Amino acid sequence: MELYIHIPFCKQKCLYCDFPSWDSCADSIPDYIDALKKDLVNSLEPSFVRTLRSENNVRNSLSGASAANNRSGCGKNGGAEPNLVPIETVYIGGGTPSFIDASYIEEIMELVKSRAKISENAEITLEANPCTVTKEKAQRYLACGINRISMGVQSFNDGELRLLGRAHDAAAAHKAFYVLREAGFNNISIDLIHGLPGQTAPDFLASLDKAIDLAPEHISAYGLIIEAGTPFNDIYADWEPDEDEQVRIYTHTVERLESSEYFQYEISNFAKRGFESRHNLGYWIGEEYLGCGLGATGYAGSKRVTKEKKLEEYISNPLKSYTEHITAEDKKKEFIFLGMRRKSGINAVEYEKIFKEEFPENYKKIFKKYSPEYVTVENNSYRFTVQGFLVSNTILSEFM
Amino acid sequence: MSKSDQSRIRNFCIIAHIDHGKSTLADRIIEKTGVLTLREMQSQVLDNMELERERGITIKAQTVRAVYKAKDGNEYIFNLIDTPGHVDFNYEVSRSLAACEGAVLVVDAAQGVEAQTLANVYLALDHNLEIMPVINKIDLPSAEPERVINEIEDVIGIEAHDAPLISAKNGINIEEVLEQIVSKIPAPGGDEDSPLQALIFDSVYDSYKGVIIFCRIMEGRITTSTRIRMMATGAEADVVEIGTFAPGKFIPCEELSAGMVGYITASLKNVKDTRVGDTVTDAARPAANPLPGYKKVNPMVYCGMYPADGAKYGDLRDALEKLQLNDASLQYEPETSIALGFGFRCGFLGLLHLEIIQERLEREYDLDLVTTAPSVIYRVYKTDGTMLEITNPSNLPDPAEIEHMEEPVVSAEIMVTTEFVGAIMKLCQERRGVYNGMEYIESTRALLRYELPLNEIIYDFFDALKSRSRGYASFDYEIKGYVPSKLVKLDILINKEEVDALSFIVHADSAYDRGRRMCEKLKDEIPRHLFEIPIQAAIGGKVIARETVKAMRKDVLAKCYGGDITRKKKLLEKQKEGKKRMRQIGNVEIPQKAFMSVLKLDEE
Repeated sequence: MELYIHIPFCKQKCLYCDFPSWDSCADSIPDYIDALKKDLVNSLEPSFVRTLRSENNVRNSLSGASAANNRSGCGKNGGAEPNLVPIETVYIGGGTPSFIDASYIEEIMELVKSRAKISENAEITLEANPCTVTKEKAQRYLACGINRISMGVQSFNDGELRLLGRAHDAAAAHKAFYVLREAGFNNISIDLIHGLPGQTAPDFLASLDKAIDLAPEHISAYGLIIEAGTPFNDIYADWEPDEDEQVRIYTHTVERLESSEYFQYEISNFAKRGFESRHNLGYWIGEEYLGCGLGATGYAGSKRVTKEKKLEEYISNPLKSYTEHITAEDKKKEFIFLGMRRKSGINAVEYEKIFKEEFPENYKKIFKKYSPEYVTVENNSYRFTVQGFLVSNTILSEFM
Repeated sequence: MSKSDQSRIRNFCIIAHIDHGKSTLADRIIEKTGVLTLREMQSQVLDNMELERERGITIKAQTVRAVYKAKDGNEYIFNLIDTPGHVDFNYEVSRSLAACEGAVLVVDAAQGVEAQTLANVYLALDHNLEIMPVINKIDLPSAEPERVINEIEDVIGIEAHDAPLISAKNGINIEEVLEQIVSKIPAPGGDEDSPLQALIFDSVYDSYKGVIIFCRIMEGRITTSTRIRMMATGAEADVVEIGTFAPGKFIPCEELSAGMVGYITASLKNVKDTRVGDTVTDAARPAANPLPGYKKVNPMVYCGMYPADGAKYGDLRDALEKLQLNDASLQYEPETSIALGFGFRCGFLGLLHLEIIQERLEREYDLDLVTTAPSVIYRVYKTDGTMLEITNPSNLPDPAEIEHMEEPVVSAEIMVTTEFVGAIMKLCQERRGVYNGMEYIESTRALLRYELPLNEIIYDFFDALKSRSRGYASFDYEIKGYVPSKLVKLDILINKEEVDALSFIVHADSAYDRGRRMCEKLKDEIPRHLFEIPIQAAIGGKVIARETVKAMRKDVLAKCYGGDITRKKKLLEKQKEGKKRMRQIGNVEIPQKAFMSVLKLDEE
């Protein structure tokens, strides 16, 4: 089981951001943390997880949960530990988790450790941004068990950073990176964004080179998406991306990173060998995860559950959630469109093992149609080429 | 009803240019004569169909019988026959007029005489109707009743000085209209002892009663024991029920005699047997001759109609069948298109008729349709001496076999304020119009006469006319005949494949321009694919225009973590759904919309 924890606060909201996060609600932080703890306690109850996994609707699942409780005999009430939910990865994202006081992170981590069985080699990531990282915070993060930092740098070009509405400059990013390294973090990821209005391939590659020079273990390079409702959407309402330039940026990014031994393992993710994000990989291979905090999503059995997205409402009712039922058909679709996000793609034998049916002929046909330019077909495995990643939506929609 | 009672009957219709208030006046007359309580009054009682109300036009003839107690102390029976309000239905209008002795001519006090006013008046005069002008919308600030009265006298040449000045909307002076109907419109004639001659001016299909014939008894009488015969179609049947009309309902009676308006049901299953204009007679004692004026109306405009979802072919066929029960002028036969699959080639009286049928199919039968470009009937004279009538461009023979072709032309009258004369003349010239003269109706308005090819006005002529005259031009036309014309078939190739549903026949001189605009339009409509798609317009294999839909090299590369999965899934499903609704031509997916958008090439 994976665990995602959402911290929806930022020093300053970026102009392109459509995540549930706030830069003007710092007063709510203590109340939020209280609510989040209630959410965590509830979510980490073994009976809660069983409820999620139970097949049917709410009425059935409630009775199912109580039956399961009876069978297991000793739940939390028994005070014994063996029934704690095993957790393999934790991801504290946001927002900017590094923005809030480190003591809150410590409290959260203590709670998780006491209520769940975190595995020995768990990957525990915290998202940070350059202007909120300090030496003291970094040390405290390490001390409470966090072993991976994902730092949103976005660009090493000050002009671009201003354009994005980021609260830091490139120098701050360098500084923060060294602070983390010196504190002892040996698994750091840097996030970059490409496809900014006016950005050329050389512009982005310059940022990329600066990231590579810092030698992080992991680099994510995301294409900018201008979402409705963000200030960016208004500012750049008339902006038409130059497709050829964006294709150049993407293909050059893949080449540059691969040649620097950052191996692509997903559309936007690259890592040194052995440093792929296990937590994120989990999303693409159908692992189960719990989501705690405002707007966080969990998935287990046949349900995907999303928490309340309004801050005040979440604080007063942290257990409120919205459930989406995932049918067998949905699972097949997700197997394809999530699995294909990975560089290694999907495997027909694996499909047959999971779904107990033959890999569908029409799937094979679709893949064949796009092979070899967009899809590489090898024995039973199918994976996108770089050109395929670029048009993956068009191709994947055919599996829906 | 005895003979003397004929003097208490008034059979009349209301004629007007669109929007001059015909239906509103009809409502007021019904209201004032007390056949309906206010509560029962729904605005515009006579426009039955939802579509008619929305478009503000009358599509089917409607009839209502009302009793009016006049100031002379007598009760009069008013039979108001409401006529369709569009040039497409001119023949139906003429038959409705033939059932009347008089026509109330409604003219807008601000707009004055318009093209349809004239067309309707001429039609009414052809039937020797007494025309009784009424000036409506008298309470508008822009009303100029004096000017309009003079215009009616000058342009139409009928007495208008005692025309009631009314507001149908606000119920002003309606009484005067009713009194003038009594005093000005003649009572019907006809001898009830003569052999039966009843004029069919409409017929509708009812699932319980079968066909209901709307008719005016011109001579003789009909009773519930009459066996009737349609003189043109030869169909015979025993009368089941006869009666008269109240708004929205039928009132059975024992006998209808000369001068009266009413309905007949006779267990007839198809409106094809009861053609508008035909004469109903008594099979046992038939009239020597039918009433004059009958003609079988033929469709003028054809197009292919295809279900967007191929599986709905049967539903479309059933729907057309049902609509045809009520609309004998709608024709259809199955056809197949490589691009669109199975569908029907449908024939209509005109473009409005086409649009109405299309809308009714979509609304009342919940069908999603793809319609091909409308076509007129072309006459193709082949080198072997034979002649073909072509309604589907795909059926055009090889150019080598064609000796020459002919196309239908109309004589059109366009009334427009003088400031737009230039713009409208330019439009008519662009549409290959031949100028036939111009008259000034008054100092600010002119009547333009043009001969125009029908195929130039069935696309978007109305829209163009409206937009180039800021809505001030009005238009009326009638079919004049066929003239030889230099016509070519323009083919559209998408990714080198000819798309039959996009082919059309066009005059050689406008082929290049149309082809170019088609390609431009299609370029905007066809989504990008992973490969480049050439769009070409060609005549007989020679490409005359080309556009290219660039290949798509990149779509959105959004991140996709736990909370993004649902949204992503929906996005991909939506994309798939969109594709499903497209038509596959070779390996190119073409949205349904593309087939129709090319019909409107004049948008600026």
